[in-house]
Amino acid sequence: MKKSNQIRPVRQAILWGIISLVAYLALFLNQEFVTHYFAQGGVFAIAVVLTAMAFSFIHGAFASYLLETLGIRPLKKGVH
Amino acid sequence: MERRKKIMRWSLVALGTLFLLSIPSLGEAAGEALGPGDVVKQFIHLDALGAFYLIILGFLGGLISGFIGSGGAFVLTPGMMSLGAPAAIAVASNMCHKFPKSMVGAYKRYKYGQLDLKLGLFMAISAVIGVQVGIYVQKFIFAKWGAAGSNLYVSVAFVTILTIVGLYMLFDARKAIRAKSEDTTSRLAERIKRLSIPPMINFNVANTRVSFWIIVPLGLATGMLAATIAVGGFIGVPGMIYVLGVPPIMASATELVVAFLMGLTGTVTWALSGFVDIRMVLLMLAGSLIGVQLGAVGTTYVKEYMIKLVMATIMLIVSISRGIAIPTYLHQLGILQLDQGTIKLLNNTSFIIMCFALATGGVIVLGNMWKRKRELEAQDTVVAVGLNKT
Repeated sequence: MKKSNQIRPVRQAILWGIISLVAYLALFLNQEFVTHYFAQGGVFAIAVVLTAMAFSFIHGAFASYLLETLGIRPLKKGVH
Repeated sequence: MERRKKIMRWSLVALGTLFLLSIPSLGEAAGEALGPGDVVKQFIHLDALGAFYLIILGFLGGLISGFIGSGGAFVLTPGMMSLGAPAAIAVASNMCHKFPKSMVGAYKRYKYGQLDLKLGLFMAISAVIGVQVGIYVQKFIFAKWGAAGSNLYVSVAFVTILTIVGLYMLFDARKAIRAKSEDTTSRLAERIKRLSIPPMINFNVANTRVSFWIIVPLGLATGMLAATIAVGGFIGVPGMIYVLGVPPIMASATELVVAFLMGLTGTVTWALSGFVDIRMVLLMLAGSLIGVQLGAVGTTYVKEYMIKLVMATIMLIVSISRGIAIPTYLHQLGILQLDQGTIKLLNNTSFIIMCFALATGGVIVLGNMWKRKRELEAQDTVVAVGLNKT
């Protein structure tokens, strides 16, 4: 946050933002289909875990780049 | 030496076996006693307002989690239920939201050098076993005094533990503020370090050496609390600080590993029966993945005692909230007489105070980050002016 001359990853933030938005839209536009299968349990438990993992990676990357773009970076590393 | 290795090996095997045996019913570790009527599989209709509400709750929960290592569950489960989700769906979805959030938070804090993975795994595995003990106690109380008795037990546990630990942490943080130091040291932890009951375990990142017989009971207590009030971190983090002597920033980071493993195993057990509402999970994640990373960055801006201060504040407000719910359970048990309007008012007040606890924590974290940022900018300006003059 303090070094304003650090490169801000605006492009990455936009790119991952679009990917994240597309992933969210894809799921919510087909929400009935998705909830129908996920509610069946059994082997679909793997799909539930994988979906949560995939979104945490996609949206997590977007969130990380977004914070860096806004200039929010760690100040000090390690326990002091 | 050979004998010590043998003890260590057998201790690990016993812990691993108990861990595997504990997984199947981990999904019950919810903090809410689910009666047979609560296990309804019905997915709610989500409108734009409900979605926005979940994103905001997720963000606040994530911010607090990233900062103090846990929190959020006490608001997210009732939050989903207030949208009309059945208890089992809310509990399952909360579990499924917890593990990706904790994973991202733990990864960030690992990158900042604040995480002791080995300590996290020891704590997490024993916490999973502790959950079973907690469930057993819950079931015993449920069988003896029914749902109201069980809820009363949960609330009394909530209020007692949170008030005692919260007040202690608050006074301890105040001591550090007054001494203008980074943090205080725990005398109990210093004494415990001298106890050498084999097997002893070295934790290189946390820079400590503690007996297996100290860590495992601490993990068990974390799990038991998770099964009782859904927020094991309220024992896990203070335990790591005061019993193991781990710095607060490292204790809160390590707690995220515990939250991850409990969330993952809990998700699998609930998802096998199809109770996870992935839409609510993803909406909460939309807010919490930003919040958890912001909270993680926040820990690098503040002094060590701030973790204690934020945690104590949240714990004390939450204990007030649960205290308000106690008369309702006394009414259900026939000990107290209340009308329906009063019960509804008490329940709503209790939930609003919980949201207030989360928001207060968020304000303290963001406020301190902002203050530190302004201080640094002011310092930079002074340096720049000084350089220009020379």
